[in-house]
Amino acid sequence: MNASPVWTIACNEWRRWWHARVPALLLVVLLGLWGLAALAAHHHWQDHARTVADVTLRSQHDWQSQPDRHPHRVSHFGDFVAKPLHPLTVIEPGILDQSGHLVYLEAHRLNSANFNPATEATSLGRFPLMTPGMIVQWWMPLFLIMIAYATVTAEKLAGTLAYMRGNGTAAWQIATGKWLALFLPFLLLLCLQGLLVGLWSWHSDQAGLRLGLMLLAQVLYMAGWCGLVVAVSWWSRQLHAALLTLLLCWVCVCIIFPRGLANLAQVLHPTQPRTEAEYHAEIKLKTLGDSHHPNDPHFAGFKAQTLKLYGVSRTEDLPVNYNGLLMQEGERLTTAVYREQQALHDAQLAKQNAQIRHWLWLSPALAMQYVQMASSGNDLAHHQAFIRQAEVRRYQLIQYLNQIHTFKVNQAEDKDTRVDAAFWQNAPRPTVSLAGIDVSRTTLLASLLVLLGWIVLPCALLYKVSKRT
Amino acid sequence: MTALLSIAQLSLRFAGRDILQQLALTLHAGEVVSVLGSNGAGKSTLLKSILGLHDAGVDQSGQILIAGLDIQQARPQALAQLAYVPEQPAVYGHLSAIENIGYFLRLAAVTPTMEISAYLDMVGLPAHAWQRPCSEYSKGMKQKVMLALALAKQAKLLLLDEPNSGLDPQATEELNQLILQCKKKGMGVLVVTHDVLSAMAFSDRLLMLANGQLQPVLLDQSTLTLDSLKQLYQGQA
Repeated sequence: MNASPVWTIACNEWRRWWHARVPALLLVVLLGLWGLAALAAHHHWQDHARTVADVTLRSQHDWQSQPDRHPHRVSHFGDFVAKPLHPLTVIEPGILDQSGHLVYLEAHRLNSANFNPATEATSLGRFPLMTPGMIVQWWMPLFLIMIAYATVTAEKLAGTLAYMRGNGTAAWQIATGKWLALFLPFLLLLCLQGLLVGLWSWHSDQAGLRLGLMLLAQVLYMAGWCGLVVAVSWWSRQLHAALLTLLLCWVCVCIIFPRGLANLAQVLHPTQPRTEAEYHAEIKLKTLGDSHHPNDPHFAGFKAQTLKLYGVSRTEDLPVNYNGLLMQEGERLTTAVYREQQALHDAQLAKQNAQIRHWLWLSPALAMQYVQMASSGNDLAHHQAFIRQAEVRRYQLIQYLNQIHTFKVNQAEDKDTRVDAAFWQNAPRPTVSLAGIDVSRTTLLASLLVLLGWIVLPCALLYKVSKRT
Repeated sequence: MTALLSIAQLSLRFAGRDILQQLALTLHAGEVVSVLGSNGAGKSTLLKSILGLHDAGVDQSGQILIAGLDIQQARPQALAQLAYVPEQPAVYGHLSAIENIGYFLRLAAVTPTMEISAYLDMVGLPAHAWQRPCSEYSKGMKQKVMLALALAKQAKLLLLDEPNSGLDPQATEELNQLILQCKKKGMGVLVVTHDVLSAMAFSDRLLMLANGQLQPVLLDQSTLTLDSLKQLYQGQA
């Protein structure tokens, strides 16, 4: 007899679910779905992780096993870089499947991961994926609606709501009890997911922070949905009205607004397709200069400057290999053009993101997805950080090889020269690591603010409608 | 003696219409008062006002005291003094009679002085039904559960909204007896009903709600005819 009214109401709601069978069955189905998603996502993650490990190992082995050879051949031998994956990828792979996680680095070639349509991941392109993150984003609210749309409407129709109110139970106690009944099973599921993933990924970078942020976002998201379900159920006079209103909310929040925002951002700030970006880069490169053309003004100037620097009149008299110097200059120009194109592309993506952030309050589902993606290291910011690291590695490596070409290869015997393999083994190949979560701080802040607002909205609505009996 | 229910100058306006106008009513312990009135006269609205259950948009003025406690200023304490039985008995179909009563008592933070089954026995609910889900009950059985709850709650004031609607003659008679039992226990009972004959059977006073005000009605069962009832409801009594 001492239980608080809030807890008593919550317990009665669970009992009603159990008695009605369907809500209990739906919960079991959701649990099964989550289990399947977890298994599928774990399998998917293992595939990725195994590929990353294999490629890294094989790439290292192949690189180190190169024989004595010409440095320019080495620069086209190429180097694979794999994006480090955070274990939280198992919850939310984000844009991983769109952006890829392996990059082939080669001299004066575009980094293969650049200009990928990474923003596509915000749309419904990922719908067929079944991941725990997606279960929380889409399926949990939908199941919640199916389980609990009648939670207060049925009490209204049965007269028990008016009876409780008329016998002294406060509206806030009823609302809180109902909310608690809806929220606790989902909180339990989210905490279980967090615990399992936490135990498994505790050794990883920023595990506590990343997992904490992800869990916080998921909890806020579901708490908001539970509040909305109670508020709409209280507001509705008929069961079908409650169900239809909530389904409309779900369609808008989870489907229409995320899709619409991504489309709007792409229309207002279009990004170039990869082929178009490459085409523009090639055009720009041609205007800068062609090292193979004897009368090209840029390279004619470069040649004159080099001869003057070394105080000689012919390239054959240079103490270094002029072809190596040409390679260095060519690589510098190519890289500058590609980086310029990349900066343009990034600027467009930044505008798209700013556009989406501006309207993010329309879709807490998207806000929650952003936090999940940032926490698992699979959002656009992490991808761009990876691309930048890979590009730095590519440039350092190629210029190192060009310097070897310049200083270790005799110009007269250029094509027949083989440089000692020890040079490749000592080549600078800086490790590419997962960027810290602070690269996504703007998105994280905006998303968490939206999710906090998502909690406040149903509370305000509930306060307004709870006077109804 | 403090009145269990005291209503003074109660006016209520909703959607541009005056439902109640300067209404006054006093009800003492051990007294049964029935309020009659045509559909839409404001009988259920009066009960909602006593319970403080009006939706937004209702403009209400006046004072309602329950056992001396103002419903506006001390709602929880005032509501603890009464038990309300709506027209459709508000019981959970998935719970048994005992579980329903236990649930609502827990919400009201009331510890009954006797076993719940004793109250069910008191209102005449057959023992074989006590543990069965209320979804299997008839309306009369559900009414009995609600009355047992009112007794278990040790309420001083009982509000009944159309208690006889949908009951067969035997169930109506049983309910009338239960209301009289409550009266004997010293409870004050306010009944809102269309059933004039039942009201005459258990009421100390009959009141007619018309034009937003309560008027006393004097009826003689021996001379009551269909025409006199029609006149009564048309305000010509």
